Amino acid sequence: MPAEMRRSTFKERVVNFFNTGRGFSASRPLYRLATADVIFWILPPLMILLSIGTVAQRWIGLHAAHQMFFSSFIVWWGPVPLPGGFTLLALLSFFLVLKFLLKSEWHFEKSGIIITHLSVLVLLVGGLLTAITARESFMIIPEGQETPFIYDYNARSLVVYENGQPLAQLDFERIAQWGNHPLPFGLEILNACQNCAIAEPKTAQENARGMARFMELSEKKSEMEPEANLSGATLVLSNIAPEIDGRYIIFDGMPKAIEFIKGGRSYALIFGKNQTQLPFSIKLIDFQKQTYGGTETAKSYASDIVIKDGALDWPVRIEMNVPLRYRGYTFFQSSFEQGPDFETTILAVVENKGWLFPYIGTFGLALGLLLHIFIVLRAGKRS
Amino acid sequence: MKPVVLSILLFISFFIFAAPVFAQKPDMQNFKTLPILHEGRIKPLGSFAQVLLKKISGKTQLGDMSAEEWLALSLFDPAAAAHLEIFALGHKDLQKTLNLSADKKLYSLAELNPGLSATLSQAQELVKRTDETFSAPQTALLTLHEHALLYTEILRSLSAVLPLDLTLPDQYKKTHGGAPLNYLALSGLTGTLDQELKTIIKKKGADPKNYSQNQIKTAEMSFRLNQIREAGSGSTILRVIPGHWNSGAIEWFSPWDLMLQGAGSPAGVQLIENWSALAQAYRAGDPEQWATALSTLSNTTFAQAQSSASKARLNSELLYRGLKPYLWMIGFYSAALLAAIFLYKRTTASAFLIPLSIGGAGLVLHGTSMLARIYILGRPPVGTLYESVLFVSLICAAIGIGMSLRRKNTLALIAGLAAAAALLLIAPIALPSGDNLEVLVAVLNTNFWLATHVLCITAGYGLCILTACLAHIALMMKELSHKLYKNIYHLSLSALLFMAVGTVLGGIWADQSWGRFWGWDPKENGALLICLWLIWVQHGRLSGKLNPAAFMAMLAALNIIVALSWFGVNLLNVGLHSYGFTAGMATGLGIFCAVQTALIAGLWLLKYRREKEKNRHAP
Repeated sequence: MPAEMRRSTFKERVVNFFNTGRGFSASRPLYRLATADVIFWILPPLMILLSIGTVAQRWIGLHAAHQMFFSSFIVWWGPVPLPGGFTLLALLSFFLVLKFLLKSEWHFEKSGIIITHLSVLVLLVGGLLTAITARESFMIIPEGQETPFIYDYNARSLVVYENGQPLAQLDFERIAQWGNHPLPFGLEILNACQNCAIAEPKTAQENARGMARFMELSEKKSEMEPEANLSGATLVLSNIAPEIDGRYIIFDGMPKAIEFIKGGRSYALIFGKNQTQLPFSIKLIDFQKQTYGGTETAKSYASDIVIKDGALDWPVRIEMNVPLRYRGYTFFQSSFEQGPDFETTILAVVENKGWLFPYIGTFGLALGLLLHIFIVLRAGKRS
Repeated sequence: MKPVVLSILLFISFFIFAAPVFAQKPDMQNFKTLPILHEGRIKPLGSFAQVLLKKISGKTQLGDMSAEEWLALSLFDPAAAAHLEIFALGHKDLQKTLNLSADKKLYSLAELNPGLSATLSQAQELVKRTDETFSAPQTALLTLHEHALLYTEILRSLSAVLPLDLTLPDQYKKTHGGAPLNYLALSGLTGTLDQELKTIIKKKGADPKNYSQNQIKTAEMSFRLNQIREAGSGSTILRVIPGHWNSGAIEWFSPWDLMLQGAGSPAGVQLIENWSALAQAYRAGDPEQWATALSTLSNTTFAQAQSSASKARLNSELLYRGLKPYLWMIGFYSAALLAAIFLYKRTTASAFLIPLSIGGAGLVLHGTSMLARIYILGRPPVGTLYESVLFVSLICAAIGIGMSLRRKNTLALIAGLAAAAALLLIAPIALPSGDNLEVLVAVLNTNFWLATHVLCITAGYGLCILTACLAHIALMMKELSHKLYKNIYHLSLSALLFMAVGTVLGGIWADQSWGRFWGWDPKENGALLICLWLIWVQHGRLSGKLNPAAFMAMLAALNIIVALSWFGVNLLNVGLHSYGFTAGMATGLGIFCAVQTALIAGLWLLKYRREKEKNRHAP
């Protein structure tokens, strides 16, 4: 039987597929899309989006611009839907995979391009994994103290503690639905504000308790960065005791919690940034801020800490540009508070399953581009 | 700006006797190499003087008076220095605001004092404002007040060791008759004098008319010593005394710091006495006495400073500043560029070698001056916007010269030299107001990342600019040669390599210091934009969507993309890269982008018509 009449074996078809992209009928329409043309048309909208999203940060802040332009599938331009960052990056990844699988020419002359494309894919997959899994929070530890708690930068919640243990928690976004929580006392949310203005009450308020006697909360324009917002709520407590029942206000970083006792149990209401407990704790031994002599310009920040995890006591130093990775968390020297008789370190805590991808992608990208330039220059010399 | 009552401070400087003038200029060599801690690093006193004089007057010397001579006069003879014309107003409206009759370029502190006192409350109101949206005259007024405060601080830096215009009360003539009449010698009396003054006031009231001559002397001495101490308490700028408990490694002190804040030690007192001797020598106008006192002071200071002040490094800095390599570099590159353009058509070896040699000399000087900066600052060469411009210019010159040597291509030389010279000419825009040899904030204070990410990105900028300049030339040519096309293509690939690797390295640095690889921060987006543009152009070439002329036009537009990414994002004033913020260059940037767009569009259109015409006449 002549070779061209013979039905090709599966192995031949796979080899053929990798060499030409042909051999599997399903790949043919995709094959046409796996060209440099597609990338040529996808990149301009991505560049425009990048430019507009960058300039927009000046007016709407980094967080809002990030959400609106880069972490979105659609950007609305008036009534017109335009592709957002997620859509464009997904398309770019899709066509890059097509190109990689269907159009790659598997020989040395193209090895630089193949490695470069693969590295960009690694970076994009890392970005996707980061977008899905990364969680950023922070930790505040005064010198000499130990804590297992980390706090979210943006998300706030109202937590009710009973005898020091959390009894109920509700995120700020759903705070109006508090009535659904069964509690041993009545709690009604009158109003909540994302960014509260605090003012003296215009008229004397009946049943005002605690700080509500001196101030009231009203909504004001949100800050550019959500973590700078002062969120809060006005609430009414009932069925506790006549001297406790009444209207209260509660807000971010309020110096004193709302506390009372009912039925021999103590209760506390705290509003603030979402708190999570780590499976280990960290003790701050010493915080050091070094400045350049004769100036207030910081030269370095460092925290000497001890990781306390079961029987483990691990002394370690975290400093600017030198983070600590431990049990899937990475701790960075982020900020500090200093007073005449206290020092507190603020560590950024990041949980990110995709952290290794950029390192691999960077190495591959450098290698691929270098190889490609070497091959192009060699070919130029030969010709 | 500290709201200090300026007139009082100025008055303090006049308590001190005016000094006679040197018959001939004193030798300043040892004086200008004395170490001082200023803006976070140890520098020579000559540099300190230049930086301050430049800040106040915009000049690095006053006529034939060098910066260090000006500093010596200000330190040792403040009464005379207050009449030196050194203050630039910064805005013409200030002449009216400060009620100055004469229209001059520079004014003295004594001339400005009434106007500054009258506008002090206005300046204080401006300082309290949080919006910082000042008009140009308001900014100039604030700056002038700041400069005046800075200068009064310098004037009273050594007020503790300068002779006072006072007469010793009779009761102290026996015990202090032989001692110099200055604050340092008389400070031990302040407690007793205060007590005596209280007794006098108790007996005779507060009106000096009722006092005897000796009581007036006592009251005057008590009042003036207190005034001098109060004024001196804010004088921390002259940090010339090494801290002794830490081997001088971190903190240095001003004479007033040592005397008033309990930071003294026998070694520190010895240095203050050495400074006092130097002041006496200066005021005596005796060159020999000056040289001896200076030699003693210099030896003692370096001995006490130990390893924290290296004489070799201080001398290198003085040499670097004295040579003014920046101006020489511009001169060499411009001359080489003109020669290359003029001799372009000639095919002789000398026509190629002349511009190459001149440009090469500029490059050697440029490279040496960058090495000098590395040695002086003890860190990689790029840490500020200004330094990035110097380095990108170096890359353009080096690659341009390298390419022209390797490929015998004068066009690469022209492009490289033009880019290098143009970048050096715009460098002053990014120049900080103070010293251009700066220490870095904590997040940047890492030699590893400065030597990898920053150098990679800035080299990428250089390659992009060179590619764009060559692409401009290619668009101007009637026929685009295959060789030039290939050269530009290879350069653009190298630019992509450096930009892409630099950008992702930046991501890794951000991951190491802020905990995230990518945060869509303006600076990050700017770098990504350049990468995407280069990738887009390469894919346009590959797919045939961009013909050679369009490919060149898009590469020429890299200049705009780089300018926006490098300088433009700094204007947004948002994000974590706050150390790169600049202001006041928006108009210039806008004009540059508009001119470039028009130029590239025009050149491309001409090329397009030419090609069309050629195709029509083709057989």
